[in-house]
Amino acid sequence: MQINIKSFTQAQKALNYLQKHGIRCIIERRMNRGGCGFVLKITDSRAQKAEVCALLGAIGINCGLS
Amino acid sequence: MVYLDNAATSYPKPDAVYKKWRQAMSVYGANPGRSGHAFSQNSAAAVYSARSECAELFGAEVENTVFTLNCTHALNFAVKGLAHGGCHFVTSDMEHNAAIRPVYAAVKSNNGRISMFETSENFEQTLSNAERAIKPETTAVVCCAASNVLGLRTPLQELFEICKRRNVCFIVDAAQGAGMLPLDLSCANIICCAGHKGLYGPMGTGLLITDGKYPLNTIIEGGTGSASESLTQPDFSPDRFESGTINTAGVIALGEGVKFVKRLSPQKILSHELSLCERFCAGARKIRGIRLYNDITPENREKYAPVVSFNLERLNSSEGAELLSKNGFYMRGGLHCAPLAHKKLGTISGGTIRFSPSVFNTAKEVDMLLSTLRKIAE
Repeated sequence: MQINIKSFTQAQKALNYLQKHGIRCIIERRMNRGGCGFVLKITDSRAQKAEVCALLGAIGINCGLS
Repeated sequence: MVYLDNAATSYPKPDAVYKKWRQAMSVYGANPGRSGHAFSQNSAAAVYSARSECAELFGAEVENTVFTLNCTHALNFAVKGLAHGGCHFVTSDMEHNAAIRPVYAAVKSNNGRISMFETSENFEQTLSNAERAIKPETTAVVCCAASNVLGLRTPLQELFEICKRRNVCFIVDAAQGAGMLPLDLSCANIICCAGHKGLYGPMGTGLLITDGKYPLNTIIEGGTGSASESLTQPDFSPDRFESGTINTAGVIALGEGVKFVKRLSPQKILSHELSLCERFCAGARKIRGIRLYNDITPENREKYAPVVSFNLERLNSSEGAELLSKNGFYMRGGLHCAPLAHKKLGTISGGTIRFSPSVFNTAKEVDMLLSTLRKIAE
């Protein structure tokens, strides 16, 4: 599961928050639709899409899953 | 050497700040947020950590915590970012050029208007004057947390309540308040501050803290490492305001300075520095040939930040500061880039010498200064 995120700041905020909730993930820099950006790669196979999106929504991050 | 020019920049810095800066120069040597390799990602993570420290201190979202070069830079972002045709800014008669010059420039290029209100030790009067200056068309109130000449504080919380009621953005120039005064987003929409004064970071660092309620136009555009396909500036913060490579080692070390402030607590730092000011004023009051322009006492300390202006009566402020420098006491003489305050004080032609201690100064140093002043002045 990968989440497109516009800025590193948001990506790190998301990573810290998800890790606090026991969901492992990493940040990768990627080319995406807007040019250079970041993806949050959920490396935790047990994590559910709905759960991740709900957590990110709580910190104001839109869950644009790819 | 006794350094008492902390209102210009604090010195020394905490050991942890020097250590972190040296470490950052080597360990975090890659450009943060620009590349995908681990070296760059580590730099970006360290910058994020510093950003989080700063955000927490001011009760801000991490995205709305923008690193700038200094307080002036942040004030330019805030003032010019809000300016529009026919804009109206309200400021006080204590403002530093860091605030007043961007306001004047914004007003001039937008055919706008500026209103200035008078401040005083009577906070009720200050608030009443400020409220009268606010009009239905007012864009923002721009005001210092404390004067860099007289140390006189602005009743921020009460002024913010007025601004909220009148639906006006409140911008605080916290150059002389951050790290000491109770100052967070509960008393302003936008806080601009230096990183190198009360936050004990390196020079070349500053902060623009916003609550996000008043979107700012950009005044500088460029590469951000994000949304790079677009020829226009990103609409998301902090990238929108951080064009070009930031002072990476500087901001990482600033994070350490903020940790230092949090560990000690701004309240304790303020209390220590005000006690030194009281000691200085109590001693200087008794010296013939010294004129104090503000007198901090246990009774009025709640109204002041730790800054005292004085002069040696026979000398102008530059001569006085030079003589003190020759005796090992480093203080600034002149107008301190705040001509309005000096016009009000009647010191526009000669300026004042400014005593501004930090958390590292001691009562013994103040006594040594007073002893030297006695010899020079009497």
